Amino acid sequence: MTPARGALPDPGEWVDLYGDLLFRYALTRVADPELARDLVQEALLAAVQARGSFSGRSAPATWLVGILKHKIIDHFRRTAREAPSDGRDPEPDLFEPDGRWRAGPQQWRTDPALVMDRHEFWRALRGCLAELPPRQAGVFVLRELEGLETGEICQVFGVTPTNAWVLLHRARLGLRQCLERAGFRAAGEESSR
Amino acid sequence: MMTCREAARAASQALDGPLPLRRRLGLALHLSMCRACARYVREVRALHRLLQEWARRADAPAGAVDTRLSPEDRERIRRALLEAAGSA
Repeated sequence: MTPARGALPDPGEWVDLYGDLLFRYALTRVADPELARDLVQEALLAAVQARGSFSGRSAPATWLVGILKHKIIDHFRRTAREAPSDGRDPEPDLFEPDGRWRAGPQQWRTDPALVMDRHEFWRALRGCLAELPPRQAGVFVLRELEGLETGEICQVFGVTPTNAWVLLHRARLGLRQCLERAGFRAAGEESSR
Repeated sequence: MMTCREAARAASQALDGPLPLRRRLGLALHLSMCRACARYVREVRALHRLLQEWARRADAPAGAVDTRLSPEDRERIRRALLEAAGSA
C-alpha cells in the first residue's frame, strides 16, 4: 500500500496514505485534537509547496513527519510568546520547607517500561501532559519526544539554560505526580514513611 | 548533605546534560542513602528512556493513540491539498 521510497504520491492521496499517521504524531505532542488536525493540514500544505524538493532519499512518510515536526516546533514557539509565565511550581506541594519529601513518591504499580503497548498508559500520559502549564508541557515535549538539546530548547522558548532546566524539572515532577494519581503507583502499604 | 528537593533537581538536570562533578557526587551519595529519592529517580529515568524509545518509532507510535482523522477533516484537508496542488 504505502509506496516505496523514492516516489512521492499525488497530493490528493496524502490524506488517505499518511493522514492518520501524521494526526497521531501531532496529537501525541499537542494533546488538543483540533490543534493537531490544524497542524497536520498546515504541514501537508507546506509539503505541497515544497514537493519539488523531495529528494527521494527518505520515504514520503518520513519526509512529511519532518515537515510536521517543524510545524509543531513553530507552534511551541508561539505558545512561548503567548504564555510568558513558567506556570505552577510543584515543589512546595511535594517537599517540606527543609527539603525532605512530604509524602515520599509512591512506587508505581506498573512499571511503564512493561506497558509499552498499553493504551491505558499512553492515554494517561496524554491527559497528564494536557494538564501541565503550557510552557512546561512544551519544553518537556520538545526535549523528551522530539529529542531537542537544551540549547535548541532555549532558542525556541527564548530562555536561559537554567530556566530550561527549571521548566523541565517542574514538568517531570508534575507529570510523575499526575501519573501516580492516574493509578501508576503502588497499592497502600508500599507508601514510604 | 544534599536535600531530597535538591537531589530531585540534580537528577532531572542529569537527564539533559552532564552535571558538575561536585553535584554528581552529591547526588550519588544522597541516592545511596535515600530510598524515596532512589525510587523517584528510577521512575523519572524509566519515563525518560521509555519516551525516547517511543519517539524513535515515529512511524508507529506504539499504542499511542487509537484516534483517526474524522471523515469531514479528511475531506476538508484533501480538498485544500488538491486546491494548493492545482495552483502551485
